[in-house]
Amino acid sequence: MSYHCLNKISFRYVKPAFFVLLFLLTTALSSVYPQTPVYGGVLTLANRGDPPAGFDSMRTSSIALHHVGGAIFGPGNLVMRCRENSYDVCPYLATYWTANREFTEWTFAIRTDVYWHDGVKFTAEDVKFWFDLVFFGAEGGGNKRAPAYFSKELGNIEKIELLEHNRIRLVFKQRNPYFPEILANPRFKIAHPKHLMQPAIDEGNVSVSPLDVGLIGVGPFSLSQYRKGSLIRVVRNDSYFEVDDSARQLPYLDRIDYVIMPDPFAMDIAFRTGRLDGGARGQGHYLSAERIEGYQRDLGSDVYFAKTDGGNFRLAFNLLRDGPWQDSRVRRAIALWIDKPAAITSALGGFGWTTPDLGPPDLPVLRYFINWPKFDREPLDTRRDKALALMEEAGYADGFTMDHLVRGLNPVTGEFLKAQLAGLGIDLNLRIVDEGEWNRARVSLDYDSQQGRLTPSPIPEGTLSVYGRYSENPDAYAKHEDAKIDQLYFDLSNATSIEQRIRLWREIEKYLFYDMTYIVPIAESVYVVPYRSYVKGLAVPVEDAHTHTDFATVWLD
Amino acid sequence: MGHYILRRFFTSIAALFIATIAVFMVLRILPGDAVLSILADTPHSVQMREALRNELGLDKPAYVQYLTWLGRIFDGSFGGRSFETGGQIGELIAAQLPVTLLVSGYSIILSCIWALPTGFIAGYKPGKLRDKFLNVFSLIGLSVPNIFAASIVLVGLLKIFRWSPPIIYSTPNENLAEHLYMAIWPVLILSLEYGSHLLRTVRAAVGETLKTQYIRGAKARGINPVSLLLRHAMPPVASITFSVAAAHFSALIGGAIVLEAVFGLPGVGRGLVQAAIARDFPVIQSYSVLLVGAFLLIQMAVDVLQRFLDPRQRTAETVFSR
Repeated sequence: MSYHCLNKISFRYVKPAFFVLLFLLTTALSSVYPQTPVYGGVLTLANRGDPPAGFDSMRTSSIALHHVGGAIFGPGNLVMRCRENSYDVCPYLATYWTANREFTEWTFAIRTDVYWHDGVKFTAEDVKFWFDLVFFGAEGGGNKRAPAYFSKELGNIEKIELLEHNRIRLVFKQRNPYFPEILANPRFKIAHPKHLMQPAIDEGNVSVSPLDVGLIGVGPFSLSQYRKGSLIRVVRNDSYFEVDDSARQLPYLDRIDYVIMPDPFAMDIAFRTGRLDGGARGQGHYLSAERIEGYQRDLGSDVYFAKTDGGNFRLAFNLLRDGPWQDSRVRRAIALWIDKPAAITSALGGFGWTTPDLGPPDLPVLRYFINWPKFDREPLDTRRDKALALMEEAGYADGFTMDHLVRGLNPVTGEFLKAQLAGLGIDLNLRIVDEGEWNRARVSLDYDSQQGRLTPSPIPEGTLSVYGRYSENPDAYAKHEDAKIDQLYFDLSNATSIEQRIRLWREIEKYLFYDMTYIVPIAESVYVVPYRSYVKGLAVPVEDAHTHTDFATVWLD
Repeated sequence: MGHYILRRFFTSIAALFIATIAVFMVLRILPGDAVLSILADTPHSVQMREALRNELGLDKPAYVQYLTWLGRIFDGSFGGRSFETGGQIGELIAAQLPVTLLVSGYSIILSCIWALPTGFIAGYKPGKLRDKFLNVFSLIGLSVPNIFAASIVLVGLLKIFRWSPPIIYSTPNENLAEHLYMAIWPVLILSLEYGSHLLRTVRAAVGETLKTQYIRGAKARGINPVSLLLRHAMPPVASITFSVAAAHFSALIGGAIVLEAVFGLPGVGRGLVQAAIARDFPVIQSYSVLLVGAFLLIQMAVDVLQRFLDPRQRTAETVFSR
């Protein structure tokens, strides 16, 4: 065999062998390293309804807005909740921030590579305009615009200063040590371009909304089409500033179609027949165990379920209204009596966690402030014996009648409580109301008890709005005027170390849920949203479904 | 006739005006608060709430709010802005009305196509097997609630064909096939109910008309059955049918309200429900004007048509005028 012939034979075998090797190597590597995201594709998601208030994040925190708003306006503000751990703060529109020693002044350096969707550069002036609107509202043509609903939550502002080098300084009247954590709330989206809104305000249209100026944001997607009641279509923003770990520009998707689907049943059918890639977020649209069975039956492994801790199912008393619940022994008896694990199957659609667990079993990140249900951990029989004794001691052995405000959208929680408390002799008079009346009634003093609605910021200071005094916080779950709560929160906001902060938070919990039992925490609900298995890269927050709704890291496999 | 139309027109305007006052007052009596619906699940202060109330003009006296809204009906915005969405109500209605008109129009056309002939067939020889069958069929059509029928249709399509109607609405101009795929299901359900009303009305009217003296006279003169039905029986039957069809128009709209939500059609019905939940007063008021106006207009048109078709009513009018 000549050298030439040998060379020919070896080449004949080497070439296929090379490709086989390459294939094997690629397969092996792909199992070791995660898949590389690919660009392109259209994601079709359901949205619970049309975003209210002209998409104005200063007016509403509706999930119908924020499910869409993340893509258009971005997932955060100057800062955002980190995608890998939503309890940490990451930079978003600011590159860095500093505070003075007293935490009364916060200075932010604004990114220089951010553009509004209409091509205008985003600057510190836009940030100042936004904070001015938030804290002070606006005036024009004799009309007044109200400040943002969350202005108080951000702190007591003194002034906002524009600094050189695209920086901005916020000066507060009091210490505000956790300002970046508060500002990272995904509800505080910047959806208000100064160059478009200021002229409208000057002309007297102080209520000008993001929708009025064409929904111009700085997020990873820009608006392409909005058909009220039908569709919100957003397309890739090619000048978006965020990049992934490999320095590839985000977002990956070409387009997202949000289909307005107020009816959860219609959403289920559309998803199960392949018309949707992801479900809507929002009460009623989150899946129950029963609905999941249908999804799994039809789609098997072609569907997965993103789980996020939802709100707390609770019973809160109106202490500003006369009745047996004024007696703390009665409130304690109710807390002891309720079979909390039963609530998960009977009232929360099969998903949730409660006492005696300290949290979900597969906690992906450390959460210092979310482990409340550590009280009343004795066996149910023991607790119920104690409850009956307390009721007798308080003089209500024969029970009593108590009003309970129930949201018509989800009456099952009220029915659960009614059935539970009947055993204690309490006749829970359910007052089931529609959304309009629910929004009014729950901030009123017209009912003896309720469950409340507001989901507070996950940082402990943010919970003042739901645990504080009624006169200052009308949407508080329990209606009370206990000044000690103010003092506890004041101490908390002045804590200087994480240990001190945790200790104070535990003290608040004990005071609210045990010592005074203003509120009976029953179980933490878990929100379940379906996605098709080819939807990759989804940032699922551990808590608060308003978080990570930008879909910038999502790609289709 | 001209005098009659003019009189009807002015009474309709008066009725519409009264309806706007009634709707305005009822909305203010209803429990709930528009400002709190906007703020919904936001941690707001009392000051914030009052500032927003001031911004929306809800702190003004009721009559001022009413007159402001009434003024905006005529300024082109058809009632100003929505509290909930912030959008112009006129634009909202312009986008939603064609959807509802198309669905209602298709339903009426389809109902007429199947219900009028079958009504005639049933009424021409009552008591026969086909009459009994149509009677039972129409009874089912009237008894089955729209929402139940919609659920059956959707689950049936899912279970049998693994298919569901499109979820993104297309106008006939954009994509006729997608439009029809989406609209056909609510139209079928609506026409089942509406057509059943028509069928029963036509059946009863034909039956009654065929018993009258002049029909029996015509029969005795040997007029052929087709001519008898079309020339002699048709005018009174049409007159009754028009009036019943108009009376059930509100039921058709009611059905459309439910079905638009289930089938994802962005029509007036869905908009109205959303506005009612949000206590979006200007939108509800403007929609009410629209619906009451449409209803009055249809009633007026039917009355005029009845007079045109039925000479007895014109005679009665003349006698009454003298």
